Amino acid sequence: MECPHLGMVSTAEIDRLGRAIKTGVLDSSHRLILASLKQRWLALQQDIERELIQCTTTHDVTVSTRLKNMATLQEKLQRLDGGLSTIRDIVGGRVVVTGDRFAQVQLLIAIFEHFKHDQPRLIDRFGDPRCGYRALHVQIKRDGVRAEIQIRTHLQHEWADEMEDFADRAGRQVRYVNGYDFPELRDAKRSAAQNCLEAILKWSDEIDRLERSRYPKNLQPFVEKAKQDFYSRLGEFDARL
Amino acid sequence: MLGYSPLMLFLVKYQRSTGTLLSFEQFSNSQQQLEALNDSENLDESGNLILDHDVEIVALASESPEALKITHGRYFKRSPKDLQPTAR
Repeated sequence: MECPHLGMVSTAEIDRLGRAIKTGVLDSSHRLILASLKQRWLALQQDIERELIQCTTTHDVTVSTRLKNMATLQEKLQRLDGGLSTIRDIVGGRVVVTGDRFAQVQLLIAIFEHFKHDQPRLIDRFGDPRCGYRALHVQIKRDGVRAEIQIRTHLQHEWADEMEDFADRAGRQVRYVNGYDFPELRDAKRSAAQNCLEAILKWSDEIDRLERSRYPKNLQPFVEKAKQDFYSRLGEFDARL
Repeated sequence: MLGYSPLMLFLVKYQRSTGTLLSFEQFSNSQQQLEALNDSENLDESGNLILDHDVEIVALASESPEALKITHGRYFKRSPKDLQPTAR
């Protein structure tokens, strides 16, 4: 990977830096590489943002990009076996599309076409949902840097945002571990978190059912009911300090 | 060759456990954003990372603060709807 001020940085050097971030102990050479990588990552982030805006002009979308923060990066390195060079979403884009799954797939095609020279790869979180999370992701690799673009409908996005907010307070592992049972919480709080999880997974399933069935009006109340049930249980969780 | 769309650069600091947006800053160029990002990541006397896993420090880019409030609504959920970034 070509880095500002450093020239080429090898995969082995990047993975060595990853091991240092994992432990939090960085020597001067690690810090030099990290500073240069950050500059490279931010530049790619801005390029992707501009290009996503460009290639989605005919779609009704909202777009942003972000650089994964160091604490989250450390958590991910500690959670996974792979090295820093294998992490695919240090640079991340998010596109929220107004419309149905057909519009979402149309957008996916437009993004794939635009990034066709950047080794695009589809991550299908419909076919393989992760702890209730459903969306379409496109991974790309440009100049040795990986990035991931999330494509979500508003319903999927609202759910994902609430799941992340809940996970912040109940335990972030709930987003990655199926059947997570909140071992860091105690007694009634733990039980309330388990109730929330059950409700938010039900909400995700109802969104999926609605979207797969092309939004018939008779299914919409089920989504709303599941969502309200989650909020109600979340209120009980929050009340148990 | 692509043209360039206007782009806004931000830095968000967000406390996960309380859902509190600690700061929301906007930058006029990427160098300023990078410096702010580096300044916000703490190092001890030996230069090692001191990471607070309860606080997210995120560099973002979007067309507007409003776009960010949609794509990253979690950060702004408990803030006033008309909240604007502090210019740096």
